[in-house]
Amino acid sequence: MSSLEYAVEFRAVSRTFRTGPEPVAALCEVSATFRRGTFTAVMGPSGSGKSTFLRCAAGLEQVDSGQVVVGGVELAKLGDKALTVLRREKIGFVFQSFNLLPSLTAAQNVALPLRLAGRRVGESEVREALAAVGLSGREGHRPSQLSGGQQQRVAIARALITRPAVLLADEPTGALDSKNGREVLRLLRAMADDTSRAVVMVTHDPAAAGYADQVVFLTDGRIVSVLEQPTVDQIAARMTSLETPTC
Amino acid sequence: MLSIALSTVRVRWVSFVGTLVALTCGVALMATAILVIHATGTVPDEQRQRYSGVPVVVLPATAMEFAGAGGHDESFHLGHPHTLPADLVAAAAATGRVVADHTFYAQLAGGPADQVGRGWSAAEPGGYRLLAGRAPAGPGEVVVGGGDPALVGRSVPLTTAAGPRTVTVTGVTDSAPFEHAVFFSDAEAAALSPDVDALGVYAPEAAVRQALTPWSSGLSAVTILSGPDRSAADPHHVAVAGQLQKVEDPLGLAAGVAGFVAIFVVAGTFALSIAQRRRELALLRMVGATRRQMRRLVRFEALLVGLFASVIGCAVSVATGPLCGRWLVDHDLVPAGFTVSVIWWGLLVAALTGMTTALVGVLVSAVRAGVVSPADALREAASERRQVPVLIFRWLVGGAVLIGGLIAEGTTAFIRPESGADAAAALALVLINVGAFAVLGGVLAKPVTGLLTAVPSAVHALLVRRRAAADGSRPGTDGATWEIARQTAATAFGRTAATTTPVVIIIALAGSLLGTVATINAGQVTATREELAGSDYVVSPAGTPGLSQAVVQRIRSVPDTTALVVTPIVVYTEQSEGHGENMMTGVHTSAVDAAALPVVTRLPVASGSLAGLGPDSIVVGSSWPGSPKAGRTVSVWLPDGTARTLMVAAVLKHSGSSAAQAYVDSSLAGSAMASRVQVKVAPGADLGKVLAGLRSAVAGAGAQVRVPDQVATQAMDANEKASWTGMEMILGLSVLYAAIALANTLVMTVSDRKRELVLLRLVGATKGQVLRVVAVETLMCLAAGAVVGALAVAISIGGAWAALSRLVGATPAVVPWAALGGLFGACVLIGLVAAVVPVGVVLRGTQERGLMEAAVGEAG
Repeated sequence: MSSLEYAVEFRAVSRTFRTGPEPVAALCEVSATFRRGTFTAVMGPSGSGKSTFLRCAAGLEQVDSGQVVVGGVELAKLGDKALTVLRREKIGFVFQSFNLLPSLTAAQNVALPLRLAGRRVGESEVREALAAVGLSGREGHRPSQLSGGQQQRVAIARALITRPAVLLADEPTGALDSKNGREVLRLLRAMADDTSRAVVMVTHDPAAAGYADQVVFLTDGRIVSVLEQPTVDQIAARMTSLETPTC
Repeated sequence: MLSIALSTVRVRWVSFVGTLVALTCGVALMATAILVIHATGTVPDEQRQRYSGVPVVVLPATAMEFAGAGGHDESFHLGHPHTLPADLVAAAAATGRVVADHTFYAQLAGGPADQVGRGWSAAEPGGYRLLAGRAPAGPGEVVVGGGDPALVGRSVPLTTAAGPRTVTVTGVTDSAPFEHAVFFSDAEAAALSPDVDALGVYAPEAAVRQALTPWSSGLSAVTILSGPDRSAADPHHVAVAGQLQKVEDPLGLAAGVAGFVAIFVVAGTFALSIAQRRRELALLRMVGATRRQMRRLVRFEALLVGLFASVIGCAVSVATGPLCGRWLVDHDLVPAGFTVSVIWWGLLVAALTGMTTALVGVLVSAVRAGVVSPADALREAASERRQVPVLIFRWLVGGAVLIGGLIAEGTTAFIRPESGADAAAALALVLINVGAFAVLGGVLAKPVTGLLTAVPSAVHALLVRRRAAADGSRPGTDGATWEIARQTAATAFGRTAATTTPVVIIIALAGSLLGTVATINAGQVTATREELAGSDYVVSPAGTPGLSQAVVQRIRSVPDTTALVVTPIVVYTEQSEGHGENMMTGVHTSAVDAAALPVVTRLPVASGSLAGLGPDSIVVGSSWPGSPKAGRTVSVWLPDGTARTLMVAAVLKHSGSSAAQAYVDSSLAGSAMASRVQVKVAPGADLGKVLAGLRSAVAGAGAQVRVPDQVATQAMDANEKASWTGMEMILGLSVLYAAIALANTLVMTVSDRKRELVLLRLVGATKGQVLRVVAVETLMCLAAGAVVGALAVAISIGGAWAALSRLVGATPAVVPWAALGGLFGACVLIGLVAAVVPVGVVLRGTQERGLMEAAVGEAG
């Protein structure tokens, strides 16, 4: 079954927003597959549909047509409860900022998805997860006592504790300095090398995208090109060509 | 979920302080009320009572039969009991020694108004001991209970229902805690008051019951009491129980109001806290919390806060309960021996109510937390979206409650106006109204602020333009401050709603309650004024329970006057409750000189004629059950239980509120004492001479002469006034904790504002301008709350006014402007301090620089 091979599949997915005076096609017949064990960067100019793409992959956005399949399950068929459980079990998230619940400690934040699933969480399990992202001994710290990079690493530890099929990252280095950003990217790279999982990252930073196995370029809701094993220079050049006004 | 809730409460304690304080106050008030109400259930134990010295007491029947629903005979207790028949007394006497107790009005000059006359044999069951002199033997001899031994042998003036006379004191006894008695010889007591009010029997209870079998069945059965039950025969004991009962109503209402305010305060602060934590909650959803888990989280938080509040509130009530008891004693609202003890189940009930209140308060917030979209975690924008479902919910619920309230007000005003004159019944309507507007406050805040700002904006724009034209400068920057404040108030929906709601509650609750009560009081004054219209002078008792016959006679004999002697009685009539069910209702009735009624009064008549009143007829008010027409007959029961069929001589246009609702001839008055004499001076007579005549007629007889206006303005029941003093105090406490909630809300919103205010500073606003923006925005929210609250006040007072107008005719609607102004002023003060000071602190020096960096950092 392909579902075992692909963590996420987009099959001719379209999404149009009709809130403004003119309907805006955020995604237009997008088809793409994300194999387990790969790291994909999604790039594109502002308004290209990157964020919509990510939200559709997470089931946060209903699609108008087409199918989104995560871990072999088609999202459109799921109700809110089933979708929540799917997110809890198969999808991990990392955002640009505000990843953690400020009232919980690092350990509590990491254990959260399992606790929400009603599971008893062993202390060692959480400690190992934090150690895996280089945060041993920080279990009792609250987010306000951690640096931005450390917070981001806690978020990655939390995203991985459920062993999800896909890790979705939205500009994970956007709020970090380059040193911390590099560390986070190395972690994401390492996560993707685990063959059970796909990592999909939305970014506008060619340097960040350079860590990926493939880069998907979106413009006006369409995939305009895909680079396999790209270099940073290739990515930057492609981005520049996409951002050049065509009018 | 519980541990997440625990962590949240611990870390975000500022968000929960308002809820905690409100709930703590609510629980403390409720617990105090429960403890005091429980204490009022037991009359302070007094070893010595009126009949504690006699084993068995027999009381006359107070029940009366009437045909109730479906032809079943039902009983009804009369205010005035029958006498014990002579054959019963004889039958009881066969079992042992008996004491026939005659109790009647007898007041020594300077004695208390509740002084009573009794036969000397009744002193023994009461445990009186003769301290000096001897027992009364002949006519005109008395023994004074608790009297000064120096009185023995003296002649003293004494007033009975018949009038003043002189008696000789032959002895004095010790004083009794339950009455002020003057003992006559048994023969004279029986002559002065032939009715046997109670019979003490020195015999075993079984023997007495056996002997009185013929009088022990049916509805008119006599009551046979022994042991502790004998206290029911002691009027003092009954009066104390009644007095305690009277304290319960305002306390119960207070507990209700406290819980009511607490629910809204909890709902408001939690709603704001949910709005503030939207991204946090979205994050929880994102990492896999289901909607149910979100709802549970919020409920857990509420329960935790509720638990803390309950524990603290109950602990506080352990101190405030006894304090409240002492306050009641100090204000003579309860007898001296009254104590409040702490009972664990009372505290438990209060604590459970507190937790329930917290849960009810977060009903909506829990749902809101459940519908937070996980996608919100990805949104960076902090600007708030108007949550359409919440708005619809507020409109629907608030609208439905308001419509229900308006229907209830209308029903009261047009179908049952008499309940509109009852403060306790009116309070329920008030609470419905206030609740509706508290819910609607959030949605009305935006249009109201829009309206409030539209006018001053236009004026301001005009002024600025004119000034600019005058000195050739460009329009100033003040307009910007105003504009920003206005926009923020309109777009920060949650914040505006949270700030306005406590103000709505404060203004609406205080204004409605005080206004309704004042309007009802004004209605009583109007009713009394109408009753007294046409009279030139009114003679009423002063320091005595009523006017003696001698005083009445002396007033009647003042030349050039017509006197209308008014004796208040209660007549009973059946009132249809619908579904073919009837119940007995007592109607306050004035027994008057029929012939003098049309001369002395100017009662407005709807149909019939006052002149038609005679011994077999009645004048009824507009709210008499069944609304009979003039010329029809009505069935009534007189105070002594006699059934009479009376013809309706006239129907009045109005119906008194607490005053008389019907008039009958004085021949039906029985033995009750007159409560006032209305005097009409003959045309052309010398008013001064008449007044002098009246003054000399009442001199030294415990009566006073006043003009009708003086009487009317003092129409408010003194006892009621005392109860409402307590009510106002509780209202004050409720208002206080709504104010605390207001302050807390504003402090909570500072964290929301930080970024936008720093942004304002970054784009070039001075510190002063930023503070002004905050102040103006807060003022707008407060003003909007006051306007919405005023709507509720208008409806509440309007409802009471409509009901009273139907009842007593044209009467003023009283708006408590001073109280409303004061409370709004307090809200403004609290609001400005709570909003501006924390912002000032945030904007200060180093903190500000840090914030700017933070703002820049987040933007980059």
